[in-house]
Amino acid sequence: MTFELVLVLAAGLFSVGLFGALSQQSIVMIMMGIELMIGGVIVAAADFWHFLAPAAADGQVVIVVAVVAMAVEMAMGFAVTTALYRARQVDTTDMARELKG
Amino acid sequence: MSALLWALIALPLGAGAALLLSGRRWNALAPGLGLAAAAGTFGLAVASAVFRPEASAPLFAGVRAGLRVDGLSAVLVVAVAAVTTAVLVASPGELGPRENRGRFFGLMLLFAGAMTVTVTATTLPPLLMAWEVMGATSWALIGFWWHRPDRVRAADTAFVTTRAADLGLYLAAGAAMAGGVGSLDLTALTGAQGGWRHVACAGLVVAALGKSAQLPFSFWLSHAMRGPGPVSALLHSATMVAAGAYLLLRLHPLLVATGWAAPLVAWTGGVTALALGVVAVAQRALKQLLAASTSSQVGFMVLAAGVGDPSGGTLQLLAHAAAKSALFLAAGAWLTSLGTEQLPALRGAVRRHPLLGAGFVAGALALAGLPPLSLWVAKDEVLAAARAQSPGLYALGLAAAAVAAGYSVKALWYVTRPLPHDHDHDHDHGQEQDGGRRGARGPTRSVSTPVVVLAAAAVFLGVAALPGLSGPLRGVLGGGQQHAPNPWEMALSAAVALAAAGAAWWWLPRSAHAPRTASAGKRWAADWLSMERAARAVLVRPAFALARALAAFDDRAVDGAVHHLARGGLTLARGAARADDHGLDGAVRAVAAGCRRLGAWARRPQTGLLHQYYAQAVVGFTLLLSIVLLVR
Repeated sequence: MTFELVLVLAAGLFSVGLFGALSQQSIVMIMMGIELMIGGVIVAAADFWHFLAPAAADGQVVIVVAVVAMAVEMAMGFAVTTALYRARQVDTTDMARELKG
Repeated sequence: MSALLWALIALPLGAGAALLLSGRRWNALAPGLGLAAAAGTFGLAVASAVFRPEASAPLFAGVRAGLRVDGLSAVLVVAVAAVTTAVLVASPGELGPRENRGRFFGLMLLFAGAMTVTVTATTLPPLLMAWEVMGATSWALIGFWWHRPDRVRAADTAFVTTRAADLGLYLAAGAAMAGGVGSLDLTALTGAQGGWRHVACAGLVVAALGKSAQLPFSFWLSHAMRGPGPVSALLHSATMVAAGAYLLLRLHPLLVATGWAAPLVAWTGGVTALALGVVAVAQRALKQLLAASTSSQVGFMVLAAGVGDPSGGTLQLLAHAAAKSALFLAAGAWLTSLGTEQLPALRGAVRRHPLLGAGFVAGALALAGLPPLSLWVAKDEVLAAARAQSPGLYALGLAAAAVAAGYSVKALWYVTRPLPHDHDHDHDHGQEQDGGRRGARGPTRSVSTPVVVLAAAAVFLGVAALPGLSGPLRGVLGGGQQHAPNPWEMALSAAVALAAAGAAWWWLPRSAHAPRTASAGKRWAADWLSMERAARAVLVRPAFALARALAAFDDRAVDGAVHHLARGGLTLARGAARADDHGLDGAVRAVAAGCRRLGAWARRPQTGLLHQYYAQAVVGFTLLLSIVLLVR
């Protein structure tokens, strides 16, 4: 039963993150929602590895890569947010719509 | 010696061309320069007559432009130069200082120069060129007062008629070439082979008859009267009409060689002499009478050419040239000073200007062929030659001589009447009738002098040809003695002329007051035998009808096809353009519009709002997920 429980936890994390990403105005808050979503994915991946193929080390590598990617992503995201704020005092997504097609 | 001959033709042609080109610029000098050139030409002509120069120059391959002054040419060259000089002396009186004198004198000199080349040419090409120049300048001279449409029409008629006959010369040249006479030498034409000799002869005869206003072509002379008086005087005496007679005299051997041409020419000349004499009698205008008489008198020359009597023909030409130029100069002077040329209105003209009148009377008496004046002698020569040929020709010539006396006396009778009391009224009448140019000037001495000189020549030239004294002239002309007239012939013709003159003198006062009910025959004669109307009906109208039909064919068929082709091409092009605009271009434009609409649709989701992107991503993933779940 632990396998399913952990999957439910991962789904919960992902859903909370998704809700945060969709509902929050502040860029920082959205990024936090995204963190939660990626966290859910990582938990799910670890769950699958641990219960379905514990012998292979590949799963661990995937998880480490995902964590590294998440860290880089966050560093980039906060850097952009900081630069945006410095340049234009913008901190919510509705105020930055330059990419309108 | 050839330099003399070149100078003889270069002087009038060169001076004429220079004066013609100068136009009005040297208007004051033109008469003097023209007269000087004419006098110089006369001197050169006399010198050439004495020294008999000969010249030739290469013209085409195998054809030389030959010029020579032989006996016949010598007489004619001197006559042409003398008459030209006399006419040019009289011309300033006719042409006021405000006229374009440069053009007039230039054209007159060109005309005389062309005649000089004609009578000296020994090969066909220079003869042809001079012949053409003469025709062209005669056109320009007859139409000299070109502001008046009727004069221009007259010039056109004269030009087209003589020009049509001139084509005979081209035919003759072509036939001579085809017949093996490569040199186109006039004396060698007799040697043309086969039928070509006949063709060449026919062409030459037609050209000569046309230029000389012989029977089928006579009507152009009537129109040629529209030109200035001096032009008529020159055109009708030693040049133009004389050119045809000269050519026939010159080519007598060829006429004889063909067998048919000599009698044809002789009879044409005889019939013309009689018929145009009758026409002259029927005329009521002085210049028209003189014109018809020219045709008639030239008929005697043509008759002489036909019966082979060059000396008689030449003598006739000389005597006629002197008499006729004097008469025309006087008629022109009267037309200028009295404003009319209608015979009834000219009553008493002789008494008004005695010197001029004396010249006119002498000229008219000579023209009547009264003994012992020159034309009587000349005519007797011709008639003697004609009698040797055929009695019929002799009778015809005698009748023509009687008619000549008739028309001369008619002109004489009118102008010698006493001055009418109401002559002012008469003038107005005359002016109405002919619409002539009325000048305020009287005939000056400049007209009277040449008239008297020419009339004196007309009177006394006959002496040179009287049987006993004709030796020198015959020596010059090189003709034989074979046709010397018998004394009884001379007496007979003198009697005929005197009787006709007397009858005319008796009859005229009775007819002048008779009611003017002209019979049909008289009207026919007064209308120059309706020759022009006949020519119009037979030649001009069909030619125009044919031309019009061909023009219509050209417009409708040839031009129409081209037009239809063009119109079809245009329609096709328009259709292609429409297909291009609506089809190809439309498709391209529709593709572009569709792409643009797709682009617009693609832009719509790109709102720039992060939330909406997320929402779209969620929807997309949900769709993917549901597809994966459903498909699996």
